[in-house]
Amino acid sequence: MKVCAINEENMDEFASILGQDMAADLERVFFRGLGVKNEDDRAVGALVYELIGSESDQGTKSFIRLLNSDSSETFGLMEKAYSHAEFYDDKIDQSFYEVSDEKSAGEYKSVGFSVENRESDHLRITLGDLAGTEFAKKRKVPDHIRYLDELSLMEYRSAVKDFLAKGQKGMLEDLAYLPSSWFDRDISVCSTADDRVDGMFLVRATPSGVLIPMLYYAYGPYYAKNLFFMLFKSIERAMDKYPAETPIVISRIKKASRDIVSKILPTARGDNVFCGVRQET
Amino acid sequence: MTSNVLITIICDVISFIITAWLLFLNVRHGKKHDTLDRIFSGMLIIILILAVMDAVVAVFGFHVGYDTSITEMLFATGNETMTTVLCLVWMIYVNYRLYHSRDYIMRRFLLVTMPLIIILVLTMVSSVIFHGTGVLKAARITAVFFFALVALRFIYFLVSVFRLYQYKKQSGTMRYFKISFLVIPVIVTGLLGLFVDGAFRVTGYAVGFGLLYLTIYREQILTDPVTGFYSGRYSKRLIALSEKNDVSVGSFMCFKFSDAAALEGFAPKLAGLISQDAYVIRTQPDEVAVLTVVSEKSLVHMIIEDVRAVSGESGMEVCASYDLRQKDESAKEFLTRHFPL
Repeated sequence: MKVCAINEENMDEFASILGQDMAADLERVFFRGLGVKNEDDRAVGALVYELIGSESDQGTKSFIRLLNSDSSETFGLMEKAYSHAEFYDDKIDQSFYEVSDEKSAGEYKSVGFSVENRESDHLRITLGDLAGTEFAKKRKVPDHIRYLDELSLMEYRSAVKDFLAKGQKGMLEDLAYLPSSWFDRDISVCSTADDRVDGMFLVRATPSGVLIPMLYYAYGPYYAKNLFFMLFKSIERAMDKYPAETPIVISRIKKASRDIVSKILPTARGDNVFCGVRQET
Repeated sequence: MTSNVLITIICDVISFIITAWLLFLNVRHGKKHDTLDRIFSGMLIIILILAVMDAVVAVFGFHVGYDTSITEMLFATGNETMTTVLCLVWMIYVNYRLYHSRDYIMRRFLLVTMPLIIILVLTMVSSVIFHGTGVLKAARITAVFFFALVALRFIYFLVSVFRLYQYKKQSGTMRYFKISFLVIPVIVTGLLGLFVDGAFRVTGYAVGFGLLYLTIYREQILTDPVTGFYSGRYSKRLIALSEKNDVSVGSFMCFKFSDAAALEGFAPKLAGLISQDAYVIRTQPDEVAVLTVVSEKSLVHMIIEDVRAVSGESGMEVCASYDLRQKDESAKEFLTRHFPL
């Protein structure tokens, strides 16, 4: 068996293991992929991780997004290639993981990760779950709340620069490198003042049809109202565009996200997961 | 003429002279922020009117009461109202200074001005209706509206202070530096409007706005008059401030143009290509430095990419790009050469 880096040339060989969403993410700047092929040159395992904070001086963290292996030998090969940085020269200080089953958590534990059993920071709901909430009711939204597809390229780029200058990039380490078309421009919205964007709610529609809010931030004296207006407008359009069973994954890592979600869906709970961390340096 | 009236007149005359001179300077020197200029001139005109009205009230002994003429009543009422109007315009000035957004002001304009208009109308009407009735209750009703005018000043003052606090909380030290000079004038003029009366209030306003003008003028002389960018002297203050507060100024990009004319032609476009919070400094006639307040490589990458894409035939080249947090020798050497502290 041999380990290799997953790139454009061999992505198709690992497609069935990666899934279409992870394959799309591997094209992003801070995603890395390692794969294992057996003696028959067939893909038998893949490890995908995302670098977080690599452009800051706070140390680089790595979040393992996928670790799929057919055997403990495959797992071991990928883990060794990862921890020894055999294919990528990123200096990782800490690694994190989150899995839903205890067996996988046990495999992580065997290579030095901690294990904690708790509620996931990611909330999985459907669009239909939002239908009965206060935020799904029709209401008048001011004209300065616009859809992303109404912004020009330079307006979008100016907005991204302003947000980066304020240290706001939501869940997107690579916000600067993503075109506006990476988001669902029909349901992503922004607030504007004096022809300048001062708030954005960016939603990604993955290839498999999952909606993931990626950035939700506004600034200026009326930021609080604009945040709610953007949410109203986006949910309204999403209800028209997608069926009720469309899955939505909401990250609640930041306090602001937790506060908003607890307002919209006070009784919703995340799945039970196993997660942990390992120091690399 | 009593000594009180004499003192009042002297104070009002001094205030009038100071304010008229400030207005002359402000109109003459024509700064880059036109809207701010107009609002500032508006405030100076209100102070001029206040000085005149206050002097008239003092000289003729006008006051509000059931035994006074309508002219007296309206003059005295108008005098109190103008102070509230000044506080309103000052609040608008502070908001605009912070956010440079007409949209924010226009969206709330009616909401903000309506209470003043209503109270003013009620005050005038009650003054006229109850004038000459000899009814004590009438005087009390009018006094309530006067009190409402003072309460409005308090509300406008609180809003100004709140906006400054909100801006500081959202923006951090380095961005707050740009507007920190507003804090003391806001607090002083707010307190003057609430607790000081008559000519001393007007004189306080004239002196306060004079000090504000000096601060604004000082900022102007640190600005390149052609491009509107900061001059090298401003950046020294900035870097010194960041070192003193142990706050990173972030990243530094330097763009060199073929000549000064090319830079001046490109200047209007540059403002739209960088982030709002960045500082743009004309370091040489043909060279511009952009300082960001965060050290974000992807932001630097975006700015350089966009400037290159738009620079066209200006002959622009990126001659340096440093992360000031790294404090490596090349960054230090470049800073020392261009901005010796």
